Amino acid sequence: MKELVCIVCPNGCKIVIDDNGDILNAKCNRGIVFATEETTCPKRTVCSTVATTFSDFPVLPVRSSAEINKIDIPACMNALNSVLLDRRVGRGEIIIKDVLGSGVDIISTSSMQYTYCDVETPDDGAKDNA
Amino acid sequence: MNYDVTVIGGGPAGLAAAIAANKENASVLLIEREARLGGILKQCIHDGFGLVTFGEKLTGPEYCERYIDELLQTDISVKLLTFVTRIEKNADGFAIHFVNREGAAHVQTRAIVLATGCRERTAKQVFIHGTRPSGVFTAGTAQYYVNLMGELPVKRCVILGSGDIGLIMARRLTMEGAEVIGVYEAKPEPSGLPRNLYQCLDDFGIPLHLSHTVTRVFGDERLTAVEIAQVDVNMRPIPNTEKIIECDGLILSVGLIPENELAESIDVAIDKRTKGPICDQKYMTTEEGVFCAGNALHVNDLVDYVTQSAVEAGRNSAYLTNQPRALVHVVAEEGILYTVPSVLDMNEPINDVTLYFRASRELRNAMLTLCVDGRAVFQKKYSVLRPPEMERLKLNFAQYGMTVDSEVSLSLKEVE
Repeated sequence: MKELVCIVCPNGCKIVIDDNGDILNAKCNRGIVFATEETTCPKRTVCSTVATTFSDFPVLPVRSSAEINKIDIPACMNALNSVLLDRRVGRGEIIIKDVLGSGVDIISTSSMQYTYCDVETPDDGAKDNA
Repeated sequence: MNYDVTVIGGGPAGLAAAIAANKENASVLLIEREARLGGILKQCIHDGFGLVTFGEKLTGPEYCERYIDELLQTDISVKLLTFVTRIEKNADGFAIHFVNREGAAHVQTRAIVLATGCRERTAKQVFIHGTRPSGVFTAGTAQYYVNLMGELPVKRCVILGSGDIGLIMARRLTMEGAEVIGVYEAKPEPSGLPRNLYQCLDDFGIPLHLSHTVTRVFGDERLTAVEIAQVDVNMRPIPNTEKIIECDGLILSVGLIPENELAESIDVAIDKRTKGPICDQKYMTTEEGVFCAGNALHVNDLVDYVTQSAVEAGRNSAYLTNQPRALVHVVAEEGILYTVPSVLDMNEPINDVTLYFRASRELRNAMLTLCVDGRAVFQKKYSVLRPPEMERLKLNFAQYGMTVDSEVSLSLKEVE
């Protein structure tokens, strides 16, 4: 018997796989798929950052566009740590294509355009003590 | 300058509230003290946000930037790097005083939405004794260093508290090459979500020690070690169980408290259990025209609920009526830690109320009972309820024959 916690959604079902390989206590199909994968080839989404050359945005958050094999996470982190980004990217842009030959891309999860200078700050307040 | 609605705080709650008020044709000002919108979600780079709202597992930046994209398409005024110093009540609503790069100024507003989020408990608030070396961080501060600054603040650390941010930082620090010796939790039960215990600790072989706490810190300039001790049921350290662990970092994940200094300064009544304002079903506080949403109201476990409360608060803030309110308290009885809203305004619709509640302890086969004037009007059975997991109910109070003098209570009891 094996116990695991489903990480697909916030319900966090405590799934049991009994000695016959039957999957119990999953509230939905995605949980059954998760439990099957978890016992054969566990997968995770990798969320991390890559370094940039910009002082106002020293690291850019990124994630894998789909789940990768859990066993490949350390190698994936090494690949991320070797990146130094020297252009301002938008959200969803590919940072590493086909990381480790997995067929999965590393994509940006934030727009580097969103710094304060791009948002209008109207000076419309009545001045105090002016 | 005059606005219908001023939203204070540019995190997920403030963004959703401002957009919702704007959709009702209110003129809206959004005030944010940081240089970028997004609040804490900027540094929450892990995924799991937005499953309820978008049906997708987004990271924090992706979730908040969807709202920032939308906000920038509107005519909502945004003031960044702006800090609200004082709120003054007057005949036309409120004067909001603030400071920013242009100096000190104020604007006039009819309604306010407080979306100021929450703060982390610090080492001083959990009574850790010893010297004051560097290397003691709240989980959020460590997260700021790693995820926004790209700096690793510790090499070998202990995490105190099993809150979700602590668990997520245990994984994050490990992935970045730091050694996380263990997570220590004073309570006999973990306070984080089960899926975070699984994917953040179990995945990386990080041990969780329940009924243990940090009793002392050592080090002059920099932390060199911490003392760990087992605690009894009253969370008091048990003598002769002390152990010294060498480390250069202590990360605290010991709870969040709604930030309500501004609310208190304008006499908004605070609920002792949530530590946020007492609110009615429209998310209006005890002060007319002052609304509250998100983690400033109560600490949520899903950002989706933060957004939902903020959409309601924002929408309602656009329609201020000056009619008097008739407030009925929803009393949290046995088994219930708190409910939000905690009061109902009987002069407003009560037919579609979203009621959030938390169980006060772990309960199995629990029967939730809503009583109106001593009659059980609604019941629901839950197989398991845990305090870290917030529950949500849609209730039509109009069908329960309530009056302004009704007594309303919610309770949870274990049944066979």
